[in-house]
Amino acid sequence: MSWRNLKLAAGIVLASLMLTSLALSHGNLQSAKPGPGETVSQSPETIELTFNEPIQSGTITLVQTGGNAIPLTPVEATSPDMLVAEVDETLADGEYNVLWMVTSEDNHIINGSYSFAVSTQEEDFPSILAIIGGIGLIMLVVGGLLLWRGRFGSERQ
Amino acid sequence: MGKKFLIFVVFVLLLSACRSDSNDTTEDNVSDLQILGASSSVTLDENRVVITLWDGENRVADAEKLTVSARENDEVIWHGVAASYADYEIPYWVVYPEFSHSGPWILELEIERTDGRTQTGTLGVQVLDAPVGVPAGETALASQNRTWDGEGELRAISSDPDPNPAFYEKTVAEALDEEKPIVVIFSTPGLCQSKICAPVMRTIEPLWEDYQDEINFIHIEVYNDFETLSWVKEMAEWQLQTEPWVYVIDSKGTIVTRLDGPVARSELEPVLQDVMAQS
Repeated sequence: MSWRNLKLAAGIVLASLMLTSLALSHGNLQSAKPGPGETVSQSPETIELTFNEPIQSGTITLVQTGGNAIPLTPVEATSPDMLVAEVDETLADGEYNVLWMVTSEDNHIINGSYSFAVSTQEEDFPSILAIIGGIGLIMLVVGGLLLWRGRFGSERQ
Repeated sequence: MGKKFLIFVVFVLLLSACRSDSNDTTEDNVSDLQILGASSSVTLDENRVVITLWDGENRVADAEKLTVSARENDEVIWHGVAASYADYEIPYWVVYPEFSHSGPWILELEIERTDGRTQTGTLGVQVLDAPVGVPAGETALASQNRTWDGEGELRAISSDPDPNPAFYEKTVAEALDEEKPIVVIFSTPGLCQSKICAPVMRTIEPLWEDYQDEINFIHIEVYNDFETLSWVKEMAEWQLQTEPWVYVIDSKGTIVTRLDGPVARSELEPVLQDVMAQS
């Protein structure tokens, strides 16, 4: 297999991996940093929530799972559909719950929550699996091309 | 043999790729299933927790059963099946968890779908030290809310596109003097833009048709002025910061219960029947 074909195969694999990771949704909470289910390698400096419509006001509470509330300082958001708070202390490794409550523009309350994790270790198990999986997919494509070449090569002979 | 082995190795690695989790760092990183609450004042005494389930922007229509647990120090201290109120425009669920203290709580939810699938999720609830607004158990305030005497424009005191004049005949003070149960609704039916608050008056209307002889129904429009959107004085008087609220007051003038957010007929009617039975 030529180097050009190998790069093409790798590109196809990478593109397919990117497509499967995009899962757009449009709920009341549209996006968050850190995100739901995310594991961050550094303690976040802020919690940033973006909603699918402007809000009148809101509050964020951060609680370590099985622990106490973490002090936050509300920050003026740059957009009317955002709610932002600074995390006042460095978060230790562990799981954290973000509780949010907003008053919509038409005066009613909506609240929700999600969790994220802080892990300052260099690699976590799922990341290693993802790398192995990625290598596996590349090998699948390369292997398939090798088999294809071998089969058709022998037919020509 | 070598090719077969290569295919086997690749297949095993492919399986591991399918199993691996990835940290979604895209801009819209919230999952399709969203569990949202709609309770503005949850305390140890007033613990009605309203839960709505969403699939993106659409409500989850095939949830069959919802069980909720409250955990403290790794121990489940409360567990219950949520009551389903599917006769509201947004079907919602209600639980009354027995919290042991105020502060943030993470409720654990298990959702059973009609196709047999089970999903889990959480809902954070902030249990307040003190209620927002005049709570159940207190004496109702004798408000001198605006009424309609048949002259002028009824829509000046109601945003309801099709207001029922019966809801604007009496002040709360006058209704209390009659010593009949009262339902007081704080809402803005015409200006509410979501299905959480707008349908409340559509719940009340058929109940008024059935119980108007036994119960006084009063709608207090929350806006004094529809241009400046300033609130009526009763919002401050009742110390309310959000709407909608439905207050049920017994014939002695005591607030029996109050419901914020969505209110289905199937939830409110039993409360009214209890109040009438005790009057």
